Amino acid sequence: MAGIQSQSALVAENLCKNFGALAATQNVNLRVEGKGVHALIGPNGAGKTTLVNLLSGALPPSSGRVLLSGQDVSRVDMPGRVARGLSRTYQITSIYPEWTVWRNLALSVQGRSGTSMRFWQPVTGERALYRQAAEIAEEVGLTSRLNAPASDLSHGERKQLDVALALASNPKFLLMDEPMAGLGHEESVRMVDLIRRIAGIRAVLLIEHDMDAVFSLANEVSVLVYGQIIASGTPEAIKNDPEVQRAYLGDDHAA
Amino acid sequence: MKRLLPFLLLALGLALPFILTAMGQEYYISFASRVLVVALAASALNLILGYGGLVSFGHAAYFGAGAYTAALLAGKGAGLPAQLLVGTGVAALLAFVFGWAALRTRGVYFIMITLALAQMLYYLAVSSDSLGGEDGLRISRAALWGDLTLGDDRAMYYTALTALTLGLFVIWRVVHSRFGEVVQAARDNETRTAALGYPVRRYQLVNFVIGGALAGLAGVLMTQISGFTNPSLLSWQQSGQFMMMVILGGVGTFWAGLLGTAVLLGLEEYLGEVTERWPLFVGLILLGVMLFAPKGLGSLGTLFGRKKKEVVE
Repeated sequence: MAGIQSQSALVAENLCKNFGALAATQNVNLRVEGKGVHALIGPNGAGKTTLVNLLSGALPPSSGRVLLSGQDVSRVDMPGRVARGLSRTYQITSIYPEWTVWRNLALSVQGRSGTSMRFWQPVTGERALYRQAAEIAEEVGLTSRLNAPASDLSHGERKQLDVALALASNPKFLLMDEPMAGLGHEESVRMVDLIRRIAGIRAVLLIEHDMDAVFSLANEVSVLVYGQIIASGTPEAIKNDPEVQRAYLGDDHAA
Repeated sequence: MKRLLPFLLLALGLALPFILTAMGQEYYISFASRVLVVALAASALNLILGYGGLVSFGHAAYFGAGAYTAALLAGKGAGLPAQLLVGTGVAALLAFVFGWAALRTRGVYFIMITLALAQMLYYLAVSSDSLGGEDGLRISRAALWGDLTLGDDRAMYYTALTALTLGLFVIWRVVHSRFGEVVQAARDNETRTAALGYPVRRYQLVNFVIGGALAGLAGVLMTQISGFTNPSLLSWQQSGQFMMMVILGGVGTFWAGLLGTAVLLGLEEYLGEVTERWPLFVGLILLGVMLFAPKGLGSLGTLFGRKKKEVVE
């Protein structure tokens, strides 16, 4: 890992996180870069969400480093990492339910378009903000729901909104924590399509239980078990890795 | 109707002294001034508590800081502009320091720290001779122009009305600005707001300072209304009363401060004349409001006129 850092990579270096006696993350080395989907799979309780929290800055690591485009950001908070091009979605959708979809998105666009320490001009007068928000809604397929309160959205639409909020900062790296969880078949198909488009121009770290989705999207797959990465490679290599089959795919696929 | 409401209220505010005079109730002009000034402080708390979602239980500190600063300045012969400016500034500075400390915590710890810091100030005032101890400080009313001073009920009333109008206008602009949007977002979903790239604490602190400054402004005027200041302005009871007003009016609704203050002070005034046990009845009425209109009196209006959804643009 001491070699030349790619100018555009999200790197975990010997990352560890302990909660008391529990080692939720153990010596994780991970590299997400360029374009496309890097999938992170693993059984329940493997520490996938903890890893996302470490990478996004929601949690400080116990040891090890997180590098963002060559810079050590281990002690940089979440907003600081967003400013450096990293964004995330949430397993349990995290939106503003009382607000309209449009207002949700305008807030997220506001974050990337100049300072928000502006106290006097009414925000609703900023046409550009709402226009860009509408563009993002179109990207994720929420145009017809712009004026609906977010609490009126279906589960699938909320997931779309959650992704849209993360996209608004125009990140180079996007961490997606189980975007397919709880979606129906049709919604899943739409989400896979959306992720493919997102990954066309940025690096996505995708955490997902839906193996069909994972293997149809990913260029690279890493397998996390008990906080450790036990294998990393192309989807084909992972499918055929005996250790992975034993630790993970065997049980889950049979079900 | 909603657009007209501010103007109707302002018209009523401007006419009130004449109405009261015509009814032979001039005594109430001074009472109305008190309502306006306390409403300004309560509205400032609503900015922090209602829009910011931070349960500050030490709002009296900024109100009292404004009052004491004004009284000290008045003692040195400073005029009204200086009192307003410095009083507001001192309260803002205090809110910055207290807010900075309190915002390292969340939830019930935040409540306790804001309360503890305010209590420190209270005991400082009680025990300090230069602040007049238990008795507080007396002032002579500030001059406006010519022979007219704020000792004149009408002059005081219109000064208070001006301050409240300006204060509410500032709050309205802040709430509807980019900044206000982030502050409300942080209230509704702090984690997501940080994940969108906003350093949440910084926004909350600035909002806290704006609220503190406006409370300080109200404190300066309170001194002018009563002609003195004393430690009760800094007490936790005063903080609690501000909170009650905001909750009564409807947390996070624009008119909460004015509505809650008018109703609570009105009840105290009216029931106080009828019975010695008025706090009991005020308590019962508060209980009733909480049970039947938990979103505050302001929500009663929307109960009837519901349910218009807010549409952007």
